[in-house]
Amino acid sequence: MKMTFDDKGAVGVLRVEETRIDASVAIAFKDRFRDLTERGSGPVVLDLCGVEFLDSSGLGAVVAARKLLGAGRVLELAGLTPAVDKVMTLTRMGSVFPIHADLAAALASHAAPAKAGP
Amino acid sequence: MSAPRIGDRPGRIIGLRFAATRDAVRGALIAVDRALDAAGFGRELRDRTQIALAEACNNIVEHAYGAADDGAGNGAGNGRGGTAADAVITLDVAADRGGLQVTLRDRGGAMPGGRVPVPDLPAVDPGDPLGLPEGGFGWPLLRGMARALSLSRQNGQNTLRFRLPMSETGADKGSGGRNAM
Repeated sequence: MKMTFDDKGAVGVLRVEETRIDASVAIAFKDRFRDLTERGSGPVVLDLCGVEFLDSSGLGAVVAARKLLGAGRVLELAGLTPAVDKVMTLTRMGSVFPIHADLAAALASHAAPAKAGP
Repeated sequence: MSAPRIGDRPGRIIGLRFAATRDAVRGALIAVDRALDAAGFGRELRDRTQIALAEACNNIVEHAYGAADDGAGNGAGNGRGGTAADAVITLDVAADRGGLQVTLRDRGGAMPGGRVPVPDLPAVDPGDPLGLPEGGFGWPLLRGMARALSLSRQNGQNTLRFRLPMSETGADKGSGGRNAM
């Protein structure tokens, strides 16, 4: 399971370098996710722009990965391709994860502190 | 390759026979996607086909043949249905004017109750991230994509058939989970 971790300061960026997260790699995905994120403490952005397909097992692995982060950390998704978006929408999981159009948008949302007022 | 096109008379696009393992399912799905692409079918229908086929095939691997949960799907054939030698799935995709007709056959165990389940989507509470469901999405996803889903069993062989309409408007009825509430 090819995944890379990039520490962007406030957030960690995980990029999945595979075209499919399916039943064949679901457990490997979860294991690799744990290895790459267990030392950090901030939010994690999962960049899925190269992932063309996600099945229910892959979705379960993404959910399991989110749980590995614990209640104190957030998992955000970026770069959903149409098939991945379809699965997220139909299962209503799109309402669970903050979703960004792409990695740049995800990073921008963290670069500008969302503090209200001056 | 004489690929059937939209509007042609019904014709097979691809027929495959593969081992009932998660890795082989992945390979078969990729082959189906390539064949549909070569036959001129668009990305949106191909995406729905991938989603439906993944859930249908992996259900056969995990339940009909009872694969051990080793993550690689290499436990096929050690469960309820048959031996490793016949832990095989055959897959046919044919085209007609209205879309695609999919037929999957296996010789694994019978579906409990003999019918395709109609489960509700698992409840999802965005406010409770650690309580989120990790499973239960497979049948709702298949039902959200497929039309005219039918299952039969004869002489130890399961046959699952469904249609994938050409346009998503036909496929969208009842999806999005509203029917589950």
